[in-house]
Amino acid sequence: MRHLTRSTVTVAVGVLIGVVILVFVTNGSGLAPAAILVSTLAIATPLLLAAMGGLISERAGVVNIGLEGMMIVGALAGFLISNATGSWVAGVAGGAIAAGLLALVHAFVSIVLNADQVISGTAVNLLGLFGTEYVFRTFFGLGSELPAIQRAPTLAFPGLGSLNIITIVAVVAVPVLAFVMFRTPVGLRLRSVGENPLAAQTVAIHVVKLRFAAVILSGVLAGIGGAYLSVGSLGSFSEGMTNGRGFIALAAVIVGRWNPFGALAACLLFAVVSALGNGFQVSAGISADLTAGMPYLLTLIAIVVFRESASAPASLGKPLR
Amino acid sequence: MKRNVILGTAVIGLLLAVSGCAGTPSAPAADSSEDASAFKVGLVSDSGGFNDRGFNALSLAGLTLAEDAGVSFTSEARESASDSDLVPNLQYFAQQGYDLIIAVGFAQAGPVAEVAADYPDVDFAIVDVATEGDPALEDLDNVQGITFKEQEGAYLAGVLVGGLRASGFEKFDGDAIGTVGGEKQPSVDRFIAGFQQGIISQSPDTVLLNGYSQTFADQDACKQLANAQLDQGADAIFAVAGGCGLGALDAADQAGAWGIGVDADQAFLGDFILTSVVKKVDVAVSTVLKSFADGSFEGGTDVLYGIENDGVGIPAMSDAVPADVQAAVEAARAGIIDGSVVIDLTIK
Amino acid sequence: MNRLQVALRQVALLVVALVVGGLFIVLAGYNPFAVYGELLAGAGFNLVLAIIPGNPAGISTNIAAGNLFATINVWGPLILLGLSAALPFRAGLFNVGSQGQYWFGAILGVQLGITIGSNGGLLAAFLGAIVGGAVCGAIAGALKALRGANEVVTTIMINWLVVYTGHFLYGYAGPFANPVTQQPVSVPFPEGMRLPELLKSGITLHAGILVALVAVAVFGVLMSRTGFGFSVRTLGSNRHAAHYAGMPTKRLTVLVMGIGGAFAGLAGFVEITGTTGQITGSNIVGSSSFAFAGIAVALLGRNSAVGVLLAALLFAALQSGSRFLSGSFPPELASSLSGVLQAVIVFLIGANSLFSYLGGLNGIAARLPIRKTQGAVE
Repeated sequence: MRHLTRSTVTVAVGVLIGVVILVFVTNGSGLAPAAILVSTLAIATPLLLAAMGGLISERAGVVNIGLEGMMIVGALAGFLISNATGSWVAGVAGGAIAAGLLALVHAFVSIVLNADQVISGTAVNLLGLFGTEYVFRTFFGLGSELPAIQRAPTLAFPGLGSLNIITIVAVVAVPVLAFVMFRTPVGLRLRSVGENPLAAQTVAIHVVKLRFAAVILSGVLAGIGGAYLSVGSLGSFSEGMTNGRGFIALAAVIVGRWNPFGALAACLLFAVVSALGNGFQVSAGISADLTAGMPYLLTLIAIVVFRESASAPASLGKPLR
Repeated sequence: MKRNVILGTAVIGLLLAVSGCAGTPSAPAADSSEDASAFKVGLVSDSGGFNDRGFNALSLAGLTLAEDAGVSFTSEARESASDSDLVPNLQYFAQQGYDLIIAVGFAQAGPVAEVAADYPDVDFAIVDVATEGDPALEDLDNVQGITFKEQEGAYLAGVLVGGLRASGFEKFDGDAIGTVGGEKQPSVDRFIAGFQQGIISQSPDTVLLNGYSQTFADQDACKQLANAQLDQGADAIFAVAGGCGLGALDAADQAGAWGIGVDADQAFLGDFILTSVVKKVDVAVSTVLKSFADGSFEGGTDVLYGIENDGVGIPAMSDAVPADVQAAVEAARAGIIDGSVVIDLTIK
Repeated sequence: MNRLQVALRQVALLVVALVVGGLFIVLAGYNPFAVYGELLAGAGFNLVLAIIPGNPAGISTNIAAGNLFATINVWGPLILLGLSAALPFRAGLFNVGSQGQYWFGAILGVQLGITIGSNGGLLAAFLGAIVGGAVCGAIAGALKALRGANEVVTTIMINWLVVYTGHFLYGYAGPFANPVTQQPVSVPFPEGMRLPELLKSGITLHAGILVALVAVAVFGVLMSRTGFGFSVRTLGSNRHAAHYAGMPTKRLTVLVMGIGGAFAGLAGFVEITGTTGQITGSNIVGSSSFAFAGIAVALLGRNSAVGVLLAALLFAALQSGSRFLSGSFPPELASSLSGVLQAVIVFLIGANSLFSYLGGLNGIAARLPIRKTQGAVE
């Protein structure tokens, strides 16, 4: 794979080795390896979906710090629509569409109006956080008993455990995205738009159209990530339930150097440390503050250890003027 | 920079203009208290907000409960988005001549002490805080503390769970029982400690698993923590984490284990809810209002709710519970009331 | 565009924001005019009307003044949070770490102040908050300078680390929790050491705003009158140019993030010693909107001293005013409504070319060379 630079492979392999070592040290967590794996994948699912979204957008040259806002919108819309229609498919689709619409606004503001993408992303986060609270309370008031909604089903894997169908979608999305991005003409165009939009333009690539598509797709994926929480995992909604996952996803994109497998590795690292933290807290009574903070500390260390170098898309964050 | 000055002046000018247009209809706040006999009650949430599915939500429900009981009052509730809102919210009510201000949560102990000292003519009640032993509060004679012996209600639930486990009741086939806390706080830990001791009193070989999600909002965090306990053999999960706890209960449901609800009776979640440890904050708030209406409200005192005065407890048990387990629960209830059962507040 | 046009445009943006916010109000079934009026009254801005002879609007000056004081108390920390984002923005750095810097400063300051006690405790808290915030910001700056680590990600991670550290320190039975009441709250910051009261009308106006005003002045002078300010601006407009001009870009990066962090730490100092008087673990955990508040203020104020001042006032009015909405709007929707309004405002600041866009397709063609080229290709 020519486009997977050696350093990226090193990072991915390094992180995965780290994960494997961690799993071996885990006997103290009181959890069976299969349980750790299932829990890791469950925790990683929303992160992974949002990270893939962020990656597409950033590869096309548009910073998307609004992932968190798009996720919570996806979570609420998914809940409301699954409730209204009685169908989890409609719920997840609704979450994807709602977050996609929010992304459309972000795209319009940052691509057509040449706005600062960070400003627009900040607005998306604020709107997502407060807007969902506003809508949720308008619908359900305070402290009411929420209706039971139809959820995305889980599939049982013998010897492993059961995984939500959205988890499987998220995991499959990684190689698919990597293939599309590095092996297809569309992927090449997308990357060229992020690296050098003016050059892309001269070979008749429609920069604006591609960037729009990329940003909307990033919203759709983040929305599915949010809907995973409400429609997939929990069948419920609570204010602020995404709890910063969009930012973790953003970090995963950067730690993974804008490469799907790198981002996957970063998400898995975060998730496995969280999963182990839960296990250690329960079995060994390790302080909850320590186990809660550990994934962030390790992510920080990963950022510092694996230098970022020049792997960011060259025109990231620069509007086309 | 000059550009900004102009800009800002224009913005402020516009704000003032709008404020002028709409100022008139909203201005008089006094006419809401026309009923002379009615007193005015202000309720201030802590940063958990009124949708916490916990004591803030129940405090708000307490106002409705009092209204339904025929107490005549007008009320307003203010939500605090963070600790920064506590003092201004309390001061707002005090300044506007509210007669009774109810503050919810231990974070308000300091703010209430500050504001109550400034407004000796306004009465305050504070949920989950005892004035006695708090140097800032104990000398104020216009503040009533309201606390709960959560451990007593939780102990009964523990006796029920432990008894069922010992009698080989359905779903009890593992060796552990799990508890999922939100943040580690005194009231959360009182629930957990009481529950654990209740279990041990009936089923001493039970492995007790405990953990904290460090959030009251992130349901999936609670769910994953509960899953870790279920994977380690837990047959029942007691969630003490407000809205987050719904995720832990859901994990129990999906794993075919029992769930134990908290604060309110959460049986509406489904048949997997074995029981709930009820903490009647709504009744306590309503009682304060009643006492205020009939003049028996006393500042400078503490009201303590436990099993004896029905402030905490568990809902009526179904007939499916074996008679000997029901008897054990009733014996524990009697023991707590007569003092023969002493609950230690340390977590195993 | 002349100044009047710019000002008019900014006002027009605000009007659009109010219209969009009005839609939210209407959708929930309430009257937007009444709600906006109450919002401004809640912020205490109706005090101006009370000055009209005879007070025809029948405004209670006590209540209006109290509400205004509450707004000003929010204004101070918002200015400081705005500065903590604005200075790094000027250098092309994106500081999302205000939350962590705020708490690290507040914790260091408060503990230092309590330890030292009534003789100089407030001063110690002030200095401690500056140092704590600065250290926290400078770490992200150093990681950027030395390891090329993206400051957006490092500051977010540092936020969470500070949050959980703080939560541990002030948690149940934590080392800094109140040993007397056994609650997961700091001991109250001693009454005699609090920021001085300036005025009182039901609600206390404390001296926090003065700290913030001095900080704005320092920021303004620093940026426009010093070599440091020049270097920062050069760094922000072109990193490479700054490097080739011989500027110590790495040291500048650390310094800028450090000073930004110091402003955030001061915000924590003002809030704790002025308004709350205590630190609780749960408040630390639930404070993720702090960083956004600062970023939004900086963006709206275009990273200038005066701009930050005014933008912070607008946001303070929205936040504080929504707290005191009464009657015509359900209080449980109030704070989310003010959040939605802030979001719409930030969106529109970003989209400040919206009007020229709407001004006609010629406008777009002129502003978007891409369209022209595309047209030519197609």
